[in-house]
This record gives sequence, C-alpha cells and structure tokens, in this order.
Amino acid sequence: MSDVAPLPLQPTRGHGQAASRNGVTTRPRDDWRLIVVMLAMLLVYSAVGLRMGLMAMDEPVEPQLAGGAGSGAPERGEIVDRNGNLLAANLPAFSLYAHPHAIKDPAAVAKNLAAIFPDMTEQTLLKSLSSASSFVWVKRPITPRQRQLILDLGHPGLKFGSRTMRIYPAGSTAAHIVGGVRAVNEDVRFAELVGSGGVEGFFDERLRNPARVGAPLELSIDLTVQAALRDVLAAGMAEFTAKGATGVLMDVNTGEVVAMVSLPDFDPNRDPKPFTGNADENPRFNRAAQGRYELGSTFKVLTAAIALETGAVGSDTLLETGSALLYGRHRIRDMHRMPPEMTVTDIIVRSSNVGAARMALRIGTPRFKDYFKRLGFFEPLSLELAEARNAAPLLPHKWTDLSSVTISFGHGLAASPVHLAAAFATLANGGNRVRATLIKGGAEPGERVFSPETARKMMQMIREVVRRGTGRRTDIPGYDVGGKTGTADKYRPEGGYYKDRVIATFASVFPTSNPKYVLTISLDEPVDRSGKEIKREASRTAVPVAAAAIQRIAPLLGLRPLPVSKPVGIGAVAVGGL
Amino acid sequence: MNRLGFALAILAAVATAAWAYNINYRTKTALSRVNDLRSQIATEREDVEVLRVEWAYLNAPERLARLVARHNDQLGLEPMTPQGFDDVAEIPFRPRPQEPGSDDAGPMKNFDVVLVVSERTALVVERVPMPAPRPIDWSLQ
Repeated sequence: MSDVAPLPLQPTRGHGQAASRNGVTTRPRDDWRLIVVMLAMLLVYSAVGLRMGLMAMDEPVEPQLAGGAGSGAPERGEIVDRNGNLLAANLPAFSLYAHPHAIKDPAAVAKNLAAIFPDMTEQTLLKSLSSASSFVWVKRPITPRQRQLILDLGHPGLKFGSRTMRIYPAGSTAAHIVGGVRAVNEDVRFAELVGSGGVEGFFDERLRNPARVGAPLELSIDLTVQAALRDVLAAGMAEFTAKGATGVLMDVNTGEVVAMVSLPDFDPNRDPKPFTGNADENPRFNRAAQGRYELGSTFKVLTAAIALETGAVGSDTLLETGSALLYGRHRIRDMHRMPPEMTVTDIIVRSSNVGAARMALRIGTPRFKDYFKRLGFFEPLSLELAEARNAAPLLPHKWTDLSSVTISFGHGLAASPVHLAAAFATLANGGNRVRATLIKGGAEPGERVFSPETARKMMQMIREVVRRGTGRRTDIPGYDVGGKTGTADKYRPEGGYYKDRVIATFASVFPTSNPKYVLTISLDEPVDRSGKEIKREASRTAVPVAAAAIQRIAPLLGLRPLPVSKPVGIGAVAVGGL
Repeated sequence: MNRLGFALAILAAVATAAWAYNINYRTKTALSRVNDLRSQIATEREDVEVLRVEWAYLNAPERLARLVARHNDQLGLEPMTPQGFDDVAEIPFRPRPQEPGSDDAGPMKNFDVVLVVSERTALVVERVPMPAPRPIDWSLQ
C-alpha cells in the first residue's frame, strides 16, 4: 500500500479540483472511494476468515467419490471349498435390545419373546427385561423373520440394531475346519466379528483385511467328499458304538487335506452349549488335528521304511520273531504266535511287535529319532487351524533305546491322525516330505526323506497287508488299496493302559501302484459285537469303515478303478446298475 | 475504453459465476445419483449374497442326502460306487421303438440316425443282456 501513500485523510480543496501537480492527484471523492474499497476488503477477508474458521471446526467428511464405505463389500471374507461351494458367508441380520424402563409389561413381553426364541426361557427373559439398567441385549443375532415377528408384537422398548451374521451353509459337515466367530466391540449399529477357531481363527487377519475381503479364501476341502466321509464315519461309529471317529483324506503330492472329519461334531451356526466333561469329548474338540493318540502298529510302516532307507535291513533280511524280545527289564512280545523268522514284508503283514522292535534296534536310536524329526513328529501341525498350533505331538521326555523300541510299534509317541497321514503321504509320493495344508493348491514338495526306491518297496508292503494281512476287507477291486492297521490300548489318565479300550486306526494309500491319496481312519473305543467274541482290533472295526469310505470317496474323486485281471463280474454289476 | 474493460470483466465474472453455480449443482446431482446407485448396488449385492447363501444351504450335501433318503422310493438313487465306471462300449442301447415309421415313437424316433454304432459296440450290444425297459413317461419332459 506504500505506493498510494501519502494518504490524503483530510479533504483540502473543493469538489472536482486537482490537488497538486506533483504526480499525486487527490480529489475529495477519493476518500469516499477508499473507504468503500476498505470496507469491501474487510468484508471479503472476514468472509474468507469466517469460512476458514468454520471449516476448521467442522467434522471431517470423507470424499464421497473415494469408494470404500457403502460400496457393499462384505465385512469379512468368505470361505469356499475347492470347488467354490460356500463354507462361510455373511448375512445381513439384526440384534435385539431393549430399554427395560420403556417396557410396560415385562411378563407379557417375556412370554411372547420366549415363543419366538425357543432356545430362551421365559424366566431369563423376564429377569433381563425387568432389570434396572437402561439397556439390555436380548438376543443377537436374530433373523429378519424373527424381527418381523417381534415387530408384529408391537411392544415399545424393544429395539433393533443391524449387524452382520456369519453363516455356515454346510452346517456341521465342515464344522471343525471352519471353526467359528465371536462378536467383539458390539454396539447397536455394528459388531466386529473375530474368528474363534479353525480356519476362521487362523486366517482372521486375512479375512478381515479390507484389501482382500472381496476374494474368498479357497480351501483344499472338497465338500462332497467331506460329506461322504462324514456319512461313512457316522455309520461306522454307530455300528461299533465308538465314542468318536476321525477321518483324514490327503493328497499325497501337495499335502492338501481334501476331507477331514472329527466326530462327534457340532453345528457352527448355533451358539456352543457350555461343555462339562473331558476336554477330548467336547464336540468342538478336533480329534483329527488336536487329538494326540498313540497310533499303534501303523508306525511299523514308518519303522520299516527307516530301516530300509538306512540300510539296517534289506527287503529279504530275516529277523528273529519267534520269541519275545528282552530289553532290560522289559519284555516285548507279540499278541499271536509268529514264525521263528520273518522278512520285513512279513513283519509288516503279520504286524509283529518283536520284528519292529528289532528293526528299531538295528537302526539305532539317533538315526531312528532323526527320521521321526524329519517326518514332522517333533513339531505342531502345519495345518491352518487356530487349534493346531498348540497340539505338538507328545514325545518321550528322554528318547532312550527303550523309547525307540516302543515307538517302533506305535507306543510312547502320541501324534494327531493328520501327522500320521502326512507321514504316510511322504512315503506315498516317493519320499518327499509332505506338510499338511488346508489351502487349495497345497504346498511345495518338501525335502527328500526317503528314496523313491524305499517308497516303492513300502507301497508294495502295505499293498501286501491288504492282500493277505489285517487289511483284507479294504481290498476293493481296481483301487490297489494298501494300508496298515493299528490297535493301541488307550492310556489311562491315572497311569498304565486300559485293557478293553482301544484306538483302532487304519492308515491307507490308494492306489498303491500310482499313489494319489492317503486316508486315515481312527475309531475311539470301537467294539465289534457281530461275531461270537467281542472284537476291538482295527482289522474288524477301522478297516471295514475305511473300505466303505474308499468305495464312496474314490468315485467322487474321479478315480476310475484300474482294470482287474481276475473275473469279479464287473460287467454284470455294471449292467445291473444301469 | 476503461468502461468497456469493466463491462467485460463484470460480464466474465457473471458468466463464471453462472458456470460455477451450474457445475456445482450438477455435481451435487451427480453425487446424489452416485449415492443412490451405490446404495442400490449394496442392496443388490446383499440380495445376491442372500441368494448365494440360500443356494449353498439348499445344496448342502447333508440336506440333499436327507431329501434323497426321503424320496428315494421315486428317485431310486444310490451312492456312486467303483462299479459305476465302465467302458462306453459296454452301454447297451435302448430298444428301438416298435414301429419305426409311426409318429408315436416319441423323441426316440431319430435314435439310430444320431448315433454312429461301431462294430465293437454292436457286438457288445448283442452280447449284453438288456435290462427290462422301464416305462418312460415322456409327458414329464
């Protein structure tokens, strides 16, 4: 403003006269003009200032075109099976809350609500509705239909909040795999869902990550196979009055778990009932991944594989099996009379404890232990389940030679059925370490544990078990099933073992000529009462269940039976089946 | 000259103001339309989601098995078994309609024309005992 100075603040002359000739013209009207300009400036600047102040005080508003909120993306990613069938999805739902002081007749409201929600009692409803607090949750989530029923009642004081409900369309079929969610930070408009078990728990961050919420999480599970396996296991469990049953079906090359069933199970869509009793009898307990069992003679296959791989024995080496093996103060003996000498194949086929123990002693404890470590028996499962991280196998405190002897036939080391399936898959795929996974596509083939030669010999051996040993009932024409039974006495919590309670396991590979899948079946305390004598051995319990499972599952997996040389009347069956 | 400049400037200011006013309101309209569309998309998406969940629920293997068990006297379905696989050549053809020329032969009247029968298949067909033809109710189709 300095160039307009000096400011003529006092009018000096009359109207319309030039003030001076020295370059600055000052006319009387200029004063008036300057005042107008100043006022105008003041007005404009105060308007700008006011607006700035208002903007600074305003609540920030998100730019409306930036997408994000309101674009309708789900709040939590979906989970689908390998074929895209929904395993977990979201549904819009409501929560019901009440302002007790606004309720005129709590008794009538409680009665009406109890009729709408069969799982709530009138007493508990009345208690919460007549409480002194100004806000109580009544039920969450509720379905739109229930909301309509409540609206029809017309009681004041009952309010609805909107929220998302997690729904599992497959119900209990894949219950242990999906797990569940619980709501945290709930308020009337919104509830944050957090995974509380299974895949939901393990992948909680991935499922909630806004950047990936639109892409469903694809599991390796095949829902149809899963349902078929569950069906077969449930029938087997009923037939043999077992307390529980487990089935794991795994791809031998990728480690993908195609089906994993643990019975008894639960419906993830329902609130869990508080469970009292042994933890491992809780329906929420995943026997396949969390359960740790001594898996009995199935371990003899691993012992034999390690023995062949380390060169401790050859396939034709004869080992003494006729008499009990004395180790220190312990006597290892067989359940049945065995020939005085047997080859490794026969030891597996006839399931000789003495033979397995002798193999373990020949291998030597450090090498034996090392192979178990390389097979993954020293670490928790790699399975993507929240629970699996805490279920490391139970190993002997100090791995002595005696531990090697008992572990050679499956006692003294408790592992999950998935551990066993992964170890069998490692053998079946030609010797590369398999890490179990629930994600479609599976994992990279791991490091080599066994040579292809050893793996091939072991496949022949377990095929022999099915052809002429304890697994005969699974000899389904065309599928070249191979496997090994295991019957382990259950551990008594107060020490020692039960005489009449067993875990019966059958670990199988099919087809052994070109291994594709490993199936392990375990039954908890099965009893076969069909014969004259009560039988508990896996050959009478787990094996028939496995046979039924393979018959159901293999066709679903698209496995065509291989041509069978012996006449079994396939043609006749096929025509009849039309 | 000065006056003309003023007049032009004022005109320009008025025109700009009018343009800004217009754009402002058009933007507001567009934004509210975007909001409308967005909430419409959200609703549609929610509907799709509900339908997908319903589809998954209605097709859950457990439920289908239950339904099949209930209606199996009419459906006659069985679980797939290893015996269900066979060579195409082993599949016998349906018996030819009695009067090939007549119109009441139904949809099967062109049957022989459509399928090229190989020698081997023909042999097999001769060999294989035919299952008794089930009465087919074409009206259902």
